[in-house]
Amino acid sequence: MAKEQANWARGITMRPGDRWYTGWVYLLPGFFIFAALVLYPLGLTFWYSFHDWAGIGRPVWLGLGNYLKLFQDKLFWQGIFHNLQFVIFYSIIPIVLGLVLSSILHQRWFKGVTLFRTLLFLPQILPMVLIGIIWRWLYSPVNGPINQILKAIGLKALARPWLGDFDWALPSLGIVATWYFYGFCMVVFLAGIQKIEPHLYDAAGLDGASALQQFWYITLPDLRREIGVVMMFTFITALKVFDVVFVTTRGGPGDSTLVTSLYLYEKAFKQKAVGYGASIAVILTIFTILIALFLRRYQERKV
Amino acid sequence: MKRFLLYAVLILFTLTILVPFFLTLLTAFKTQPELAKGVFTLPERLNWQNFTDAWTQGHFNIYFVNSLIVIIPVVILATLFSILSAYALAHLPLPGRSIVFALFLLGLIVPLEGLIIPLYYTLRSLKLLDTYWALILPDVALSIPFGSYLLWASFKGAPQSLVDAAVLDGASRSAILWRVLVPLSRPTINVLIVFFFIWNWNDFLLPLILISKDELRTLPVGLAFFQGRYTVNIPLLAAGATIVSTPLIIIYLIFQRQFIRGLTTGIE
Amino acid sequence: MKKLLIGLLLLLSVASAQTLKEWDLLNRGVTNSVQEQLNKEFLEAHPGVTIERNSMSFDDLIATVNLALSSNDPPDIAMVNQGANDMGAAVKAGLLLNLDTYAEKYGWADLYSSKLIDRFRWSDDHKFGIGHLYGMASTAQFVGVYYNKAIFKQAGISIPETFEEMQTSFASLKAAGITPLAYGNLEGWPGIHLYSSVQHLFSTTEELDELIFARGGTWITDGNIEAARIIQDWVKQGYLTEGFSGIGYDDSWGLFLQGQAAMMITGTWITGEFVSNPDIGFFLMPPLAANKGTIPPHIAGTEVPFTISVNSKNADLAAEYINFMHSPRAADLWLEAGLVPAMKADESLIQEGSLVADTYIAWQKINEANAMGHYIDWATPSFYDTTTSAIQQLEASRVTPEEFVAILDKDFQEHLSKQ
Repeated sequence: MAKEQANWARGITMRPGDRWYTGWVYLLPGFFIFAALVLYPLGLTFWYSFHDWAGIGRPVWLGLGNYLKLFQDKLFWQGIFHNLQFVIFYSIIPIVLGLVLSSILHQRWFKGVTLFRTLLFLPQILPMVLIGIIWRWLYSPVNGPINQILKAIGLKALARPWLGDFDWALPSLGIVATWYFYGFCMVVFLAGIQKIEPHLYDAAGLDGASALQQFWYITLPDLRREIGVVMMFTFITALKVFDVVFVTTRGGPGDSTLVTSLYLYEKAFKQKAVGYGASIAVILTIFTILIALFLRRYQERKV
Repeated sequence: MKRFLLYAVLILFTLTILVPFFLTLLTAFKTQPELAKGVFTLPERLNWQNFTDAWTQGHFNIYFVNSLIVIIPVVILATLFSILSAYALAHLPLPGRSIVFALFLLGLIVPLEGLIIPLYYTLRSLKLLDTYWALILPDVALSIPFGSYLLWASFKGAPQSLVDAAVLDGASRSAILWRVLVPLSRPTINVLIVFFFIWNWNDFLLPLILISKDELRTLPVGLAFFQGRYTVNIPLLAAGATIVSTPLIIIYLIFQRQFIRGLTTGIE
Repeated sequence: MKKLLIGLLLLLSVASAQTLKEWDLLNRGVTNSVQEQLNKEFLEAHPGVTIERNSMSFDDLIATVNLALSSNDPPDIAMVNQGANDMGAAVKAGLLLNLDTYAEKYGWADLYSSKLIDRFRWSDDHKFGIGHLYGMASTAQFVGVYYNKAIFKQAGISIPETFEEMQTSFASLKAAGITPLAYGNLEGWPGIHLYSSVQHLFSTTEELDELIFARGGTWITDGNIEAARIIQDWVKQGYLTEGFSGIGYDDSWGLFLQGQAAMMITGTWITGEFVSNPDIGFFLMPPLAANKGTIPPHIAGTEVPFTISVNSKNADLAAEYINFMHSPRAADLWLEAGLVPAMKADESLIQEGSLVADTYIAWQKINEANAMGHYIDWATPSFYDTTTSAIQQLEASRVTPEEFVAILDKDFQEHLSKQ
């Protein structure tokens, strides 16, 4: 980041007609709307979180009251824990699959790279709500395709009410996320691999390194940046899962798929516990920023 | 043999992506009794009734227009403001530059959940809830940090000699931006437009909370309520899903290069 | 672009006339058409008025209605579920109009029993069941047992007189390869009705009143535990539709309508969808053998009530609308469609031996026996979430019956201590 900041300042010189504030003339329209609708509400979230408020009337100052309650709130911690479980499905599995698939596509003999790339990337352009609705049907125990296929191939024992099963509901939703993200990871990695000098592979090939060795010693180290970036993006996405849970299980069965965002929505907008909802938002925000900074630092150290 | 296996792996993965879409499309053409016979059986004839029902009963005609009414100003304003901000950050004297940069970075990371509650009450006090502005303004605001950041890098990368030459010709500040930098950054701007389009078109949480009138809902939220109303009429739901996805898929197949570049650089 | 302009123009023109924005959950086939018809007739009687109707599922309604009511342009009339979770929160947040003056003007208090109307009341000090009126609903709804006469005949069973008999019939149906009860609990709320139908058999109406209006008491009772044990037993015996935890409510009644189960325990809001199948009949939950011959408490009340937004610019018109929804004409339309109106209706519309007749008579019996129980999710602001989650856990044997009632009681006692 230090390097980037130095960059920001380089090459900027006063020219005839410039005033010291010229930059602000250009920046202001965008920055104003950003400050008014992002920064200001962000600060206000902190302010709300110290109050008891039903969205109307005078907020009552609570100090840290909401937070003390939140830290003892079992449902909140369950939500966080589920978000972390989703990280496996949003981040880790898609990255592994993406690495494997991109190194296959990168083989020189491979034909049809563009076709596969286009098709595997497809889910990314569609709204998660749509994906959730399609999968809700795929998982349905009433003539849902997945159970029908299992029964047809003699695996009836595996058929189950996927989204209604305490053990399977979260992984089932997780699989939807994996399905949504792995093609995306693959495309990012493929772009990264294509930047690697081909002669590295040639030299390794001459030395008799197997494809696996080439992957381990050349591809993987050179993809650190891409992996870091994808990791950060998918990790943060897993922390704020909402759409797919909202259109499928709404947190059930029991609370087995309750996630932080959904809990926030229920508290702040449904039950009108605005201050309490804000304290959830604050924790989620801080958590996200910490994760982002951590992953960013990690990524920089490696590069 | 090894190659054959690897092709098979790729094809298998591609099928897992395509089969759900294919089944949805197939189901959209069936009647409910036909679906009861099995998921993979073909309908006797193409039944367009589901599509016309979804289009009118499901209000997709309204949602579609709403999505357009929102997306057009969002993409135009977000792109314009991003260009202006990026120019200021990259080439102009700007006191507080590093603070602005840090705030934009914060804007890139912070989750929407972190500001949605006060956003709701702020827009309510401005009497903007349940108007198109309730979507347009926050969408633009949330898009600016990313756009500024991406274009800043692009403007910064423009050859200094071209900029210097323009200054020697006596070009004004705005002429340098619009005649030199913007044409040079055309590919990045295209990527940005694609990114803004997809990101805001597919947005769910924001319109779910800020819009409660059905006549103003956009496609993703409309689709979610549509599902609530017709949970058991799977062919009708499938038709609704097809209506929502088809235009996106067609645009994607035409501009797939820009899409893939847009969404992958989008995260970096 | 042209379409865009037309869309904009349409929106503008609609906004300028006197418009009633109405939110309801009457989204299923038959109930939906009755509501459409009522709206049409209201418009005919009120030229120059338009209605913007927004109809959605129960889940979507409870997830969004309080949000909509606090918006800048709230619905004038909205169905808001009774109880602390929804109406209670809305009243506390100052979102709903006090309907006392309208109730007096139109005489709503005389339309039906005060026992029902009290459920729309919240006092100034936020007590449930007394004080100001905030809503009105026009159909009576109660939970009982729908059954398939053809399947009963084929299996050689008759309407059970006791709960024990009913369980015996479950066993014999199951042995014959027939699913005894159609059930789907993906959304969680159908579980409230299944559990508390049984739970009510072990309770008195006084005990239930005390719990639901949060006046005191405890959920940890032998009866509540026994009811939980029975539900777990039904799951273990396979009496409920296979895979019920992943099946939505609409799917489950669809299965019952198609004859894929012998019975279904649910509320009379669904009668309209069942009248198309002449094999379907209805009976009340049979009492425990010890109480044979009596009517046990039943989950009973009304449809989710219509309320008026405190910010409605057309409050008088909205009240007129609600009054029309309680007119004799509305009562007749509901009855014809198969739903029991809460108000008096023309009984000659009922065909003898029909499903509607079954439910109509059942409603009279509940009233005569003073056997009106409650929807248990009304008790506290978080009780809907607590009970739906706890019942799903109970059904999946994640908790024991004792742990189950302890979960309910913990939420309840916390709420009591705050009052």
